[in-house]
Amino acid sequence: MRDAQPQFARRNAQLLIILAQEPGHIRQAAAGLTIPGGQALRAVKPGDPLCPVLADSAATVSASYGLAFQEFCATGNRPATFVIDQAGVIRWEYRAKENAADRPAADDVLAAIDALKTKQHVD
Amino acid sequence: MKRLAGIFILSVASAAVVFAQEPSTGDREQEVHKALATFERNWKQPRGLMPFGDLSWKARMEAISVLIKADKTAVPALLAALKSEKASTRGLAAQVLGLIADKNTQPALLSLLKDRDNCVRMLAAQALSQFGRLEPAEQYRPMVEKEQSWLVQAHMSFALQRDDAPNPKAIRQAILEYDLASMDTAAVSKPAPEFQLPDTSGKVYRLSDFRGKKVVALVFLAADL
Repeated sequence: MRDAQPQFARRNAQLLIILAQEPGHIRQAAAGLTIPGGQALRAVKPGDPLCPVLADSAATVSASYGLAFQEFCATGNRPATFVIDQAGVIRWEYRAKENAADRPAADDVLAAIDALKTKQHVD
Repeated sequence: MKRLAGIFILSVASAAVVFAQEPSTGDREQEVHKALATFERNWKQPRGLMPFGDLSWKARMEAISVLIKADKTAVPALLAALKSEKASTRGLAAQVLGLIADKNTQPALLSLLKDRDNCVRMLAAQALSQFGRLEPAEQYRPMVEKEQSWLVQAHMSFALQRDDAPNPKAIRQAILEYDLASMDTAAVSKPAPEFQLPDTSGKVYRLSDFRGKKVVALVFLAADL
């Protein structure tokens, strides 16, 4: 998804990533925090202004979105993606069902954003 | 005389209101025990991702909210809960003790690093990181190297390498201010729940900052993988 960031930018869409972790933990993982045996955690890239990584340390935002405490020994979120229009309304969502790797393809998210331009939403 | 009587009555009434609003220590302790019991009844520890549609995760948020509100009053019950037969209860107790960050609880949390359950060990490591970098590293590094669970290794490694100042007070404050009625309110065609979160540099992002300007693709990840 992060690699498709230019396509999001062309659509005037902002990617935001949220993790239910402290900022320091996210930052250290990105800096190459390693665990014994030399395995480095693959990390999102905080500090990237085009794709900010936000720290939901208390998991309260994750709880509002219905995702908190559902993975990794109740410390991680159920992965999910939401497309929110310019009026602040959720217009599309994808929530992982099978496992933490269950994520939408970037193309599906981009298609959902494109659909906002063609549909008229009456609430 | 009437004026003095009026002032006296007002003072007594005000004191009564204050006492009525503040739960006693005994009441708080009862709330703590009730919260732990309710959690034990309703929580289902997932192995991997929680089954889709299972709402028992809310029990964790509800329990954490009550326990954080009780603050240090909850510590004795939480220390006792570290010895529960149920791994999920031991894990919750560790998680909340980390957020309360009472230094007197560190020894009990350290002993939980040898718990038979990997989730409990992980939550203990996470809790210990709330006290700052875990030291001495030479004492704990062998434990990390022998650890079978990569998840526990990752959290232990962070606790050993932590280079920032933990802020459990800010996390407690966010929990205290959180309205549990907001849980699970995100849905298609509904307004997205507003939020205000920092990135790793401390810059704060509000969802409302993008209103009228950009579409937002909000991606929640399980962990920094």
